[in-house]
Amino acid sequence: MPKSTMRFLSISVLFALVAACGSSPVKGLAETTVETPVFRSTYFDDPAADYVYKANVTVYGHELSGIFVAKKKDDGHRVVLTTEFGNKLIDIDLKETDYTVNAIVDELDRKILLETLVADFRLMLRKEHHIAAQFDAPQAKILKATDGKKVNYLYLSTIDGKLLQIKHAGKRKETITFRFHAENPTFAEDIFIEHHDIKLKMVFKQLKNQ
Amino acid sequence: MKIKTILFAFLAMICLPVVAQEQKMTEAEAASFRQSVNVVSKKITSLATDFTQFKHMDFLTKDIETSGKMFFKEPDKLLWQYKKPYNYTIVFKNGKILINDEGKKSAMDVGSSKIFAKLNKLIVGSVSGNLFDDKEFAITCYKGKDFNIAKLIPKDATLKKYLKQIELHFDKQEHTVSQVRLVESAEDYTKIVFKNKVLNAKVDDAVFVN
Repeated sequence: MPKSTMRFLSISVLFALVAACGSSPVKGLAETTVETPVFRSTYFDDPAADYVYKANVTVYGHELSGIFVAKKKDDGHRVVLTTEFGNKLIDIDLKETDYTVNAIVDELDRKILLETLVADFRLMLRKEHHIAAQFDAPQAKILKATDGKKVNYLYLSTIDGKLLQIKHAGKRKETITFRFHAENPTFAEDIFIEHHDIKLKMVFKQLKNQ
Repeated sequence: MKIKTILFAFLAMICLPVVAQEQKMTEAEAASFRQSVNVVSKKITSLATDFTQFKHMDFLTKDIETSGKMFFKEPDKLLWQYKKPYNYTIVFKNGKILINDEGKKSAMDVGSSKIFAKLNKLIVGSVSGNLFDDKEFAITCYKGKDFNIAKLIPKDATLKKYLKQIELHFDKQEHTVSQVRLVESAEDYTKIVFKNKVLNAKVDDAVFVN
């Protein structure tokens, strides 16, 4: 095969790949009228509830496991991760625009890692999403919410309106996926967070406290 | 008149100084207690026990409760097997920490983490009652209604960052540890209660696997 043809094919394949990665989650979907300007997630909204999970975090091949706890407060959430023995790994007061570290082990006290975890927890726990657009998909209603310079696409079940997924995206592509599995609308039993641009995954399974 | 008498008696009762549940031991009592514990702990070659662990954080509605079995074999083999509400096993053996987290196995060197090395020694020492090291801890002893209590404040800077105080509750008859309290702060502690203890039964090395 001539070199010029090979080069053309390589560039075409590369372009196709970039285009595929860069496609919006709502590409080709019909935009509809926004039904409610604010979507309210109820998964972490009850101040009387202790949201307790068994947590597993995989970051660049390293595994970290323990117990994740979130508690709703007036102006945000208290978020704590402990080992199975109960030793605190991280303890933060998380608000929408700020956070305070109450305690953190040296191994996790790295600016980039901490800010990534904070951003993920903040989006997972967020109650109100301001909706800019709405789309219909075959098995979900998709709400588009702006998030600073980024966008969150919220996938709601067409059967019961429960929040199934959040796709956090930049201008070109989806960077993080949050998946929620909930039997009832007030507590997600399983949560899965996967980053697509860095090797970070988190799995949370509800701990049924005895 | 009768009502006044009852009221007076009630007021007198609540105003009387509350009898302390714990009383600090005299030097002689403390020396004798520590000696008894040391004699017993030296004779412990193995220990098998059920445990229930309570993670208390003030902001939670309810302590987080987990339970399972623990095995110890001298000099330093330890298996901690959580069974409820999740399956998680951690084995300290031959300078290694072996983990089985719901079927997922991993291993690390105790020496790879300073804090793990300290916690390993602490947990083994707590279980066997062999923790009375004045170089490592400032120790005060108390006599309670059902237990004698040793309160240990770490001197080591690394351990101090994570643990404010360790409390060991000793059975008054057996002089073995019945309860451990790992205090991280005024608001947060982990309490581990041992039940159905079996001392010095044959425990195979094969038990200490993940």
